[in-house]
This record gives sequence, structure tokens and C-alpha cells, in this order.
Amino acid sequence: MNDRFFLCYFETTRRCNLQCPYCMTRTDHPSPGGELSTDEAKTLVLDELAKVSSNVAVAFSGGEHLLRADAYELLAYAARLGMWSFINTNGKLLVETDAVRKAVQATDGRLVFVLPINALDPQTNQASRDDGPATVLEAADICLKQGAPYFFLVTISKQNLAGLEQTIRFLRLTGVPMLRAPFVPRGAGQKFRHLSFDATDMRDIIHPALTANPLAYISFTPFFASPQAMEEQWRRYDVQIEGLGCQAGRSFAAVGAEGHIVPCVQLLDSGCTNANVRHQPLSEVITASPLFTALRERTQLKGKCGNCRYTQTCGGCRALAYYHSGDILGEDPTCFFQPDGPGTRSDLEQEQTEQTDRFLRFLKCGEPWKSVF
Amino acid sequence: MSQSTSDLELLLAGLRGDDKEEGGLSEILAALILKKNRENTFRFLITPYAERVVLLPQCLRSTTACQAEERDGEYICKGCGACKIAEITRRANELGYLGTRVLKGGSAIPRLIKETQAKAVLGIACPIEGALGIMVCEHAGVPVFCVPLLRAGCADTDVDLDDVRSALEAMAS
Repeated sequence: MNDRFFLCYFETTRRCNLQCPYCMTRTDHPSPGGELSTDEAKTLVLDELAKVSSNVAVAFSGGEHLLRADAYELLAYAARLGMWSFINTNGKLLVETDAVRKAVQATDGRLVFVLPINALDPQTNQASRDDGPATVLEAADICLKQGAPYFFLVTISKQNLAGLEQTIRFLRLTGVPMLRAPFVPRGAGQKFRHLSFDATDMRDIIHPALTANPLAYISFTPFFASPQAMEEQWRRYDVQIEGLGCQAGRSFAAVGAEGHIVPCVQLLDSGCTNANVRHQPLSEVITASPLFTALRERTQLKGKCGNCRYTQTCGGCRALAYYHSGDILGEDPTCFFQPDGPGTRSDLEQEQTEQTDRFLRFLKCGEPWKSVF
Repeated sequence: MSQSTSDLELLLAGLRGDDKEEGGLSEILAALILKKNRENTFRFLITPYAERVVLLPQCLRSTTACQAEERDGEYICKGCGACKIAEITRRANELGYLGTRVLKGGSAIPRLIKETQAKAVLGIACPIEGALGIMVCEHAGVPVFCVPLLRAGCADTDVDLDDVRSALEAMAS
């Protein structure tokens, strides 16, 4: 058991009630074999995850997970195994149906909704999503009224960079946490490769905006917290996740609709592994496969990611490295830090160490985060 | 504070200065404002600019340079630029807001809401005035989104213009 393995993204279906322009799950050529059945989802994914960690949570995603006929059955099954569920949803069914109440009931309250919002102006939001922000905000309102925790997910690309700082600033004024996801050229996004942000965007816009928000889940990369200070913080706060920075293959894994296993949800359909829950036990892939082991150990990282003071506490985004060079152990092309070697400290180290401390205190001061982490 | 703690209890705790170990009055009232902002986000953001009004505290004015005229519990800004009120007013006007009003005190809020027929309020205030102002707006059935001052006190206070801009410009539909 590795109780610091924290989260498995489970894209249970590619079906969706929206047609977002660069949806990373939509593809013209879905893998053969079809969606995992209810029994497969339970035995080959959820039961297997319970073998990996007693502290694991599942992020049910899609497509739109709630469109599956067994959506609530799977949520209830995960809850019976003691798992917290995150439900990554576009919010439409939360607004149009009784989904919030049913999900709360199915999980006995052990759930968090994850609501996507890329900008707080309708035009920018709709350029990346097949919907205005109103649906997601109404879904958040319903969650709030029914006592269901939620946070926002902002996918960052060149398309929403201009208003990113402003969007994050507004969300901070509501006290609702947010998580960032990098746009990757996956699925329908392959036709939008030009929207991938670069190291200059990261240095000038994205990193300052994320760093300034004490409520952002600070797993973003590059991340320059002091390795020594983080060890001490982990002891002090008794944190259950492996660390911050990139968690691909460490605290995170992902399973696709047809059972593919990858170290991070951004890497589904990328061809970076051939592993599939239908052919290999998920628990074995996570704990013993050479790829997951290499990502956990980080001794084989290449380029500046392998020659950096922050190799263990940041590690660079493995998905962005893969889409850039085809090598999952390659260097993160969006990192703006230029170390001479492992002795070079970032000017941002103290600020990000303090940010880590604020974030950990936030996690430990209230539910549901205290229980989830 | 538990999630079930009522708004009134939170407000009273803040005014009494309870929970000193967590920071006391300011932090409790700041938490109340965040909570109310969450509750009002959707209704505030679906309200068109043309139906929103901005309410500003008089303490944002420059005590040395302000040229505003006092009239009926409000200060009529002359746009001199000695404080941030002129810039906030300019941006609100560009967006087509119903108006920007500088209040002497919270007691003017019900009258202003009635007078402007505002469907939503963007309030800028210190924690105490913000918490009270939110209650007054809610009593009038109008959602309010509050941007807290950076520096409280009753004169020459300050607010982060980027925070104000993010709330002014945010729109859901």
C-alpha cells in the first residue's frame, strides 16, 4: 500500500451533452473495445485502486460521467470502498436535473464537484467551451444551497491568457478554491496545438497569477518551494499526498473510458503507454510498472528537469514534456527557470515555500479538504 | 466556525471580537463577506451591467484634496483623481453601469436601491460596513458582491483597483 497515492482520474465515458471546441476526450477514432462496463469499472478500476492506497479518491470524469446509466451506482460503490469522489462535470445536469442531491445521497456526502470555467466573460469562455459561464455558476449556486462542496477548474491556453489573472482574482474574492489544468493537444484539441502556452506565457502571466491566489491548488509547475522546507511542512501538517508540483505517476494516475492507464489524465489517448485495465491489474501498473516507477523516483528526468534543485518537489509537467518532445521524461518546455545545476536556487523559492505553507494550512483548517487530504 | 453558523451569529461574533485566536473581528467579518460573495455570485453575474450599481465608501476619498460636494447623505464626485473613486467611476460608466455612488454611511443604501432600481450591487467597503451593507441589500432583495478595502479606518482608505476591475467586468451571460 502507498497511502500517498491520492487520486485516479477515471474518464468513464466519452459521451457528452456539450461539444466544446477542444475537448480532450472527444476523438474521431475511439479505441476499440468499447466503454468499460459497470462490472469492469467496479472490479478492474475501483477495487484495484483500493489495493493501492487506503486514502485514494476518484475523479469521475468524461465526457460527462453523469450521462452514464450507472453513474450513481459507481459513485455509491466508490463510497462503500471508503473513497472520496470528485465529479468533473460541465454542470448542465446539475442545473437541469436533481443530480446534486442524487450524487450527495449516493456518496453519503463524500464528494466534491469540479466545475469548469475558463473565463468570466461569456465570449472568451465560449471560445473554449460550448457554454457560457452562467451554467457553471448556477451549478455552483445549487451545490452551495445543497451543501455540496465544489471548486472551479480553469484550463489555461493562449486563448484565455489575457483575462486569466482577472478570472483568478474574481474567484479569490468568493473564497472558492480553484485548480488549473494546462491545455494539451489531446482529442479534439489536436487541431488547436497553436493554443499551447509557452515558457514566456508561464513566466509573465500564468505563474504570477497562480502564485498570487492562496486558494489555488498549487500543484502547478514549475514550482520552486524549498525541498528542505517541504519535508518539514509535510511532517508538521501530516499531509497524505506525495507532494506538490507534478504528480503524474506519483499521487496521480488516470484510466480512460476503454480502460487505458496513464500517469496523468492529460496523457490519455497519447500513446505514452499500452497499459489497459482489461489486460493488467491497475494496482500493479501503478505500483510496479517501469514508467510509473520512473515517474515516482524522478532519477531519469532529462534536460534541465533532471538537473534542478526542484526535481523532487516540482519535476516539471510530464504531460507538457511528452506533447513537446515525445519523451515523458523530457524537460518541461513551459518552465522559465534556467538552473546551472542542482545548486541553483530560484528567486521565487521563499515566496513559493510560504505559499505552500498557506495552502497546507487552508487544507487542514476545514472540511472537506481536511478529510480528503 | 461551522458551516451551519448563521450569518447573524457570524456578524455578532465579529462585532464582539470572538475567536481571537483566529484573528478576531476582521477575519470573522472577512469570512462572512466571502460567504456572502459565494452566495451572491450567480445572481450578481447574471445581472447586466446596466442594472448594477456601484456603492463606494466616503472613506476612500482623499481628506486633503477631495473636491466632492456633500448632498443628501452622498458625496458627488468631481472626478479630480486624487483618490481611486474617479477611476472606478470611469470604468463603471464605460461598461454602462447604472451609476457609482459615494455614501456617507450605510443608511442611504435602501433609498439608493429604490431610487436607482438596481438589480445588483457591487459594494466596496471595510469588513464591518461591508457586512452590514450586505445585510441591508439582502433585506431589499438585491444581491451584492463586496470587494473589501485593503486598508480600513475611517479616512484615506484604499482598495485594490485590480480586484475592483475583476468584479466590475465579470459577467456570466
